[in-house]
Amino acid sequence: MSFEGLPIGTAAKKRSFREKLYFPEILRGLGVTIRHLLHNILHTADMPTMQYPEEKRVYSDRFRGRHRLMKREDGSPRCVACQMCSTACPADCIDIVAAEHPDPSIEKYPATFDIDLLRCVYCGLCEEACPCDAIRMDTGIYEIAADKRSSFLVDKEFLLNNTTDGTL
Amino acid sequence: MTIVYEALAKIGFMFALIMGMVVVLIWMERKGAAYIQDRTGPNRAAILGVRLAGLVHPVADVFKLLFKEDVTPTNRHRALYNLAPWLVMTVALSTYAVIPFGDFLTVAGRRIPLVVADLDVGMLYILAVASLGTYGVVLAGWAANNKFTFLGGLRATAQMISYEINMGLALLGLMLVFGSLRVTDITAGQGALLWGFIPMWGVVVQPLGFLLFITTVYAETNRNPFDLPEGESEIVAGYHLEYSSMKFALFFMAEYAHMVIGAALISTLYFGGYQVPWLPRPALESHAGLLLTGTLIFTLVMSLLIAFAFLRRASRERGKFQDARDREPGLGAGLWLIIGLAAAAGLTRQPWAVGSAGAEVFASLAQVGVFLFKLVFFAWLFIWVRWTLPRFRYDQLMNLGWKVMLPLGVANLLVTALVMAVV
Amino acid sequence: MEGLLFWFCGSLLLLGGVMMVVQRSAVVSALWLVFAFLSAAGIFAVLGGTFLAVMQVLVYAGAIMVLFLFVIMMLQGPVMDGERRLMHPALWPLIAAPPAAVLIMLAGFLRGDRMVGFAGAPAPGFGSVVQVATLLLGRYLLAFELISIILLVALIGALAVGRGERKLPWK
Repeated sequence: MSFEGLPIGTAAKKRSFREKLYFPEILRGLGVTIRHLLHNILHTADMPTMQYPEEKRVYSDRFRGRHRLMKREDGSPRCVACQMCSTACPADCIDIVAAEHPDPSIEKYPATFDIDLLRCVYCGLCEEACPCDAIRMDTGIYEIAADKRSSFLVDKEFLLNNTTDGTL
Repeated sequence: MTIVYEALAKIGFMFALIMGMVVVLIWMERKGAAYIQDRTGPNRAAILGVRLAGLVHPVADVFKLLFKEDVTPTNRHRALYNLAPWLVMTVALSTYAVIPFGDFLTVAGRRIPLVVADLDVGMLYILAVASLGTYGVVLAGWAANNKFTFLGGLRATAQMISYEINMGLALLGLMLVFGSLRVTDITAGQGALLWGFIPMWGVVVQPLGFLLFITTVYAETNRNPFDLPEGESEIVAGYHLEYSSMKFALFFMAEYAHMVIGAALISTLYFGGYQVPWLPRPALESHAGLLLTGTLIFTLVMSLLIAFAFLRRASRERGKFQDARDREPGLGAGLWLIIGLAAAAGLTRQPWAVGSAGAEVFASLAQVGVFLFKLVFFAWLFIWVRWTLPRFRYDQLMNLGWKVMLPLGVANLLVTALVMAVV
Repeated sequence: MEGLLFWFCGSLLLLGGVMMVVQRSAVVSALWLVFAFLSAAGIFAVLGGTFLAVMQVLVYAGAIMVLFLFVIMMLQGPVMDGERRLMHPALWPLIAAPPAAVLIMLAGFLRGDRMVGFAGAPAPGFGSVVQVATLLLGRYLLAFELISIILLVALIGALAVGRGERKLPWK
């Protein structure tokens, strides 16, 4: 098999005699790797690796984690079921069923408010769209894990009383 | 019957050595790769909270692979598919028969040569077994009935056939220099001194032959930069793609067993095998007291230093994990302190006045130890090279084999023959 | 002990030969041939010809058959379509074995006892590297070199046939 005559994407670098001998260059490469190895053995503390479950990276305050629903002073959801968030959602993961609020000054409230966390892309458009700051993604929770898919479908109660750990 | 027991003991020793080395090498590969790439590597699997710096991981892998489901392709050739992994493993283990791991050991007045089979055509045996190594790979590739495995098998065949010739040529030069086909003769010959001060190792008398040989050994073991039969980026995993569970484990272990052979061959043929440089067997025995004392003092100092390092780590990382892992530095310090204490206890028994029987045993053990040291170093070289060099392209591989190495091998043989004829 | 090993390797050789003939798949057939070669190497080793035994493995099993397999595998996949056969191939050796055994015994009877069975290992040194080399590079040097030249010519001829005359490297 020969690749001569075929068009070559990049101009082949002309090799010097030393490079054509292979072995000096191989030894140079081996030197590079052994330097890394020895440095890392002698300075284990400098290793950039994080021992994840024990050590955790600190994220910025603006990090978009799992959603939560804000409450009014009386403990009822601040959400008015205007559907702005579910309209804005590119992943179509928010499902709201509106109901009439007993208080005449408030038009509606969400009878159900479900988020499918598996569909959510954590883009934050729902919190941008919300006119009354009812949905926020400021919990900082990114370890979202469960052992069945249905657990990722979180409801209003869950979102109102969002726990701080990742379990669902 | 004694001879049968001896043979069984030697085979058992070799088998234990290889299997132990396989576990250590898998650990070395993972840890070495990690440290070369600025990572920490495996450090989670633990027995009762003791992680042994990741050494538990190979053990955990064995259990995982033992209990895994054996997924097999439907349209395989059943018999050959099952045969291939065993073939690979058998061939990998049989080369060790002719490799001497020491000079001799005197037990109850009998001199036992420390080699399983001292064939008068040992070098040819090595080549013959190496050439049989192709079958397992090729059959695995073909019987699985998958185009990627098949391509891997074909690549393996072409590569092994091309590089066997070069291996033979490189070894011919060595056979000419030492004038024998017997591996023990070649190793014994390397105990001599060249011009009175350089050990007459194969690498000194055959430098070009050594470079050719080490390259072909890397090609025959299918290790980087010659791991085209596996070529993850092109043909997924090559010949063992369709294997899972313990059958895959056999391929995996055979690769490391091949590495151990490669390292054993390089150290035996080109680096003096069990020969301690400048200290042939009689010198080892006559200076046994001095050497033994030196070894014990060295062990004592080193173990104390290591124990001290562990203790420093223990004080620095107190309560880091809040679980069993916090005990590790303390355990390490304790282990090395025990080793140091054993060395100190040995020193109190007056090792400088060791008797002649003890001197003989010490000399045998020292030679086995030196062989193991060389073995581990060259096995590490395999790993080191793997994580340094990229893989060859197929045409580069063939060009290197046929257009560069073959002429060099012939030239090396001719020059060697001329020099041998003149001198 | 040696006689036992001789008979053991001999029967393995026979088994390999028979299995090679009756196999349907060419690849399996080739593998049985390798098996037969290895058994033959075993016989050589029992008879004291370790050099010959190792060469048998190195050249026939290790090099030639690998190339054979390489070619066969390119042509045939591991799973074969149904094929009409006269009878089950396992029956062939059952039919062929008795006449073969009678023939071999007859030949042995006619030629005297030396033809059948193990007549003990030859003198030490027989078949050693030195002896083979002395014969090959001494008495039969001319034949040896002529054969290498014939092989070289065959190689070049194969190259010429395979690549077509125009594409030869020296044209």
